[in-house]
Amino acid sequence: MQDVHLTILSRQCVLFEPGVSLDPSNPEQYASGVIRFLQKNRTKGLIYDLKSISLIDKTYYEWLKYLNTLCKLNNTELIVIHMKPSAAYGLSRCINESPPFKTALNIEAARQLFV
Amino acid sequence: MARKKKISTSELLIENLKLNIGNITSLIETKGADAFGNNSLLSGEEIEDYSIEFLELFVAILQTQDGANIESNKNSHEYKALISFFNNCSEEIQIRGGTMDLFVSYMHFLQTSLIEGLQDDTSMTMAQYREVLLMMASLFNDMTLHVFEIYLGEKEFTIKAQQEELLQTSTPITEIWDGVLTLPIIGSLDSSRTMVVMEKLLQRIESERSRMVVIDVTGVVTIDSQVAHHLIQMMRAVKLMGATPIITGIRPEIARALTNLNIDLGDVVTRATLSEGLKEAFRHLNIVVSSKGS
Repeated sequence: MQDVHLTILSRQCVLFEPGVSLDPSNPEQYASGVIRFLQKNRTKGLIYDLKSISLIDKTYYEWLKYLNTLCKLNNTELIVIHMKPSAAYGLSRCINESPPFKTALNIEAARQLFV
Repeated sequence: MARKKKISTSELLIENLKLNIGNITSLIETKGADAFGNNSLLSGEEIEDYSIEFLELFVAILQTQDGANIESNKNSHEYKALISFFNNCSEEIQIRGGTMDLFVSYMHFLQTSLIEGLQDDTSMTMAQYREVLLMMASLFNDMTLHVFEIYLGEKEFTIKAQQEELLQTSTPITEIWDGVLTLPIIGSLDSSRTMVVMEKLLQRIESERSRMVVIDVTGVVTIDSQVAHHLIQMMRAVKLMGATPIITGIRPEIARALTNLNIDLGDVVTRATLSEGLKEAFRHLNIVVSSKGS
């Protein structure tokens, strides 16, 4: 879990900050660590911060979907924030579906979504 | 040996120009007055000034080390000065409403005037005449090319600036309320326009931290599968940024086309008019707009 930084923002709300070395092509390596953390803190909302990611390709999108599935299994809402215009533009062109996770502009907007 | 011959050609030309300067100048001035004076593009004084300046610059080129050898003269200051003279002259004429045709004919009769000035010179051999004519043809062709390059560059710049301006005015993204952006789309949406519109819209969402985006398509007259696809992409990108898109003003014929194309707008909020769309956006943000009396 060195590639992931998890911060408890408030009761039941956790901020997920991916490190630069996070490998989205191998999501299984993070699965048990993330689930353990979510369960331990009874997390209701996981806010995934994309501010350091300027481009989201299919692999990264699949990782986000995988994380969303993990969250759903734990009854946690995944909300992706700070998606950059370049990333949103690129992703909108390579997917043919509405993403299963929620998106918000920033932490405040995200917290409003699950409060 | 060859170098000496080139220098002597330059010297011969300079000598000829010195002898016939009066005739050549008046010839240029007369022709200049015919071309530009009738259109009031250049005054008599300006034509005279231009003619004298041209002859001075032309002689300066002939007096350089490479003289009449245009190819080796191209990097000289004198050659660049002549190019600059023609560029300025062409710019001046165009600013005053003249055309490039007119300017090219001006360059042509400058050349003709110089050649006509050589007619009575019996001291030149055929080989020297040939060399002088080749040198003039090369020089004037180069000048015409340079002026045309500058002219086309300017035109291209103007067209690009106009296109940019048109694009800016055709996609006016306005923050109509705190956190509410409106984007009226007028005309058709092709790939390149969608790309520009989407880029600007997403950047505005990020910079203004907008939570609602009302896209009004009242001005879109026709829609095909590609346009519909672009529209869906735009909605998706807006959502990914964390904002909520609302489409307004879908005309009956557009609605029918979307249905025929099996385009699913199920997860997109739609409203009949822009005003309804704004009301919906305000409702989302818990904003109540009411008249003072109510």
